[in-house]
Amino acid sequence: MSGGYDQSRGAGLISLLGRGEESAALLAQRAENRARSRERRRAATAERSEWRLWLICVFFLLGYAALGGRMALLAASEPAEPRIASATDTSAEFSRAPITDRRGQILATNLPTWAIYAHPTEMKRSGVSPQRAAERLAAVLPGTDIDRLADRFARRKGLVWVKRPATPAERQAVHDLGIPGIHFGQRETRIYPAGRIAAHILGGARVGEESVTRAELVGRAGVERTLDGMLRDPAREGAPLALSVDLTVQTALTRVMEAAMTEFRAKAAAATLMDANTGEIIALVSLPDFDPNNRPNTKDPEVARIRPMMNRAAEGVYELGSTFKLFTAAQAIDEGIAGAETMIETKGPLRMGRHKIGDFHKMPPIMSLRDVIVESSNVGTSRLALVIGAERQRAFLEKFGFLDVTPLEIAEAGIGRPLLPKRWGRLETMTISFGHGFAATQLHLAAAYAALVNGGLKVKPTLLMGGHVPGEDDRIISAKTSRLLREMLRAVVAEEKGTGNFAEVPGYEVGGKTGTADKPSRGGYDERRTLSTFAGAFPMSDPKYVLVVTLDEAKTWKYGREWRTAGWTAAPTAGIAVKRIAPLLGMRPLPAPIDLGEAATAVGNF
Amino acid sequence: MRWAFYIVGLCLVVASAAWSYRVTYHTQTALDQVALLRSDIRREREAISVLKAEWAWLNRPARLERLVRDHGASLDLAALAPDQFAEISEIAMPPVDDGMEPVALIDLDEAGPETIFAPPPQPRPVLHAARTSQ
Repeated sequence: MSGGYDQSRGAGLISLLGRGEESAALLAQRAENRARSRERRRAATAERSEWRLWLICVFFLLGYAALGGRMALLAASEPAEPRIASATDTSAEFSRAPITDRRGQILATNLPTWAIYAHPTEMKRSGVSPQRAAERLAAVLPGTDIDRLADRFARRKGLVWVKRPATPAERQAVHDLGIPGIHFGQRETRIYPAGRIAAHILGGARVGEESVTRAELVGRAGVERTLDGMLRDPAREGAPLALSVDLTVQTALTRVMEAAMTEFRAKAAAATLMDANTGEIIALVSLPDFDPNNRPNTKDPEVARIRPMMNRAAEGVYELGSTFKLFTAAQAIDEGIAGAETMIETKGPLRMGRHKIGDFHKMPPIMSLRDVIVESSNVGTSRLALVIGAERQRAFLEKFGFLDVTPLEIAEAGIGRPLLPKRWGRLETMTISFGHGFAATQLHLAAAYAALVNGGLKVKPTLLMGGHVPGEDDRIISAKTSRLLREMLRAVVAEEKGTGNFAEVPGYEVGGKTGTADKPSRGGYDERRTLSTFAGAFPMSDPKYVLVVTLDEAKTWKYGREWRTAGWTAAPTAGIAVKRIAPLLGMRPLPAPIDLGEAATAVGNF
Repeated sequence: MRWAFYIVGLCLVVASAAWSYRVTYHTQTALDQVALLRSDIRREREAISVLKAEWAWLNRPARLERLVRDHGASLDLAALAPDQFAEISEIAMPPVDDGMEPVALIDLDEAGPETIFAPPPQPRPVLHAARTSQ
């Protein structure tokens, strides 16, 4: 081919110099050559681009394969938390926070327990007979109804609860049986180590929403119910909630009230001990009580009769009797109507339409305001109330919080709404002046007495530790009035003619007022059934604590007759309570005053 | 020149792969450790809360009262009462420490009227002796 080419090249050159007819062949040759080389180039380019196409193809194929593989992997794998992200936070789920008293003693906490449940379909698949499974379970779980359980295993398709809550030991015993289809779910049970003591404050908890894996605890009554959100708040991280209650004092006060209930054959009893300056509740007793670990069934007729779940301190409204006289005196002094030594006509009985207001025993025809309180004259306070008038009396009581429910953090406090007279006329004003025709809870009275004796500042009763220290904005009566009232309250207990002298405890300067209210019955009052109250504070020179004691239908037999007045029942109870509680609160008694009579003789002899 | 570049690159790739392998497994081990520790902490916390509950249960007022009733007599226990407080002024002052030995009391009945008590001879204080010689 190359020889041919050389020949033609030489021929071409000759023809170029010579004649032109050979040039056509030459041109055709050239064209062919060009076409051939073009063809070659084109083939090379096509080969290259094809290779590029393949590369892109493979690239995309690999890309899609990677994506698909990843997706398949994600779809097939179990979901898991990213481990690094959770390395800093404490992912442990906090359950309901424990509750402690003011010294850190646990009042309520959680114990891990188990819920045992069964999947009957799984049991069937494994060939376990329902009857046999039930029998074996009953052998380790006492109190199981074999037939009922076997019946449920046989008939139900879904879940069957075997036992909840079960103790860890029971769980282990069931686990050791190795029955297929039996499962365990983690649970928590709320326990109240102190049992009945402080039951009325704590209330109780129940299981709320429940699934197989977990169940939530929901407050049922008392603090548990009112502060439910706070106790369940995950932001607390399970830090215990401290109450203002002192468990030791609460126990002592409960025992004193129990003894008083037996001694005076009372149907029920209640006591409130409050910090006079901050409104913190140190102890709150209501008897009869219940065990919050095992709340009684309200449908039980015996339970329905004695009503142990009724909080007689914060929920039950009662007429408070003569303890109310102090508010009449406070208003009279504070508004400048009378002074402590102003003489008031106490000649009775006072007639008002067809009603008659008289005194418990015969009083002198005219007495000072101080003596009206010390000897508890209904006629005296009624006369003062007439001067004060209904409008102002109502406004004054409103300032003390008597017209609304107390803000205490227990669910029951919201039910204790005071009973006001339908018509607040002249007669009602007079009866309210000595505590009849108006009913409020013991807690209302305690909070109001705290304001009367602490210098005149309104306190907010609270169960949370710390409380709120009132300032001048909370002033409801002047400090001077408060001082005069303290002297009167002290005289009621300290003086021989005072109605509350059985409450005296040497060294603690107890002061207070007794109140006996006849219980309402059909068409009026029944004077054989009384409610005795003692409301007081100690020590009277600078009150630290307010104590209110109430006994329902208390009576005692002394000096050959039966006594039902508070001076004979509630006052001695309060005295015993102070004697028992004050040392526990770390209060030292004031040393006995020097007997001036003896000292004077000694000086005379000298 | 080019082959040197390739070799260095290869070495770097191998080295970084080894490093990354090491770090990955190190991290995995550390994370396993953290998970283990956390589960340990949770278990310990649970145990503490159970023990606290148990302690509160053992210290429940009803049980303490029973224990006091059973053992109060032998342990001389009594309820706290106001008369257990005293003021400092009610306590007799201790005798002033004047540096002298307390004098032994003489039982006169035993000594009898005949026996005459004579103090043992004591050396004269030096200071006194010095003053008299002046």
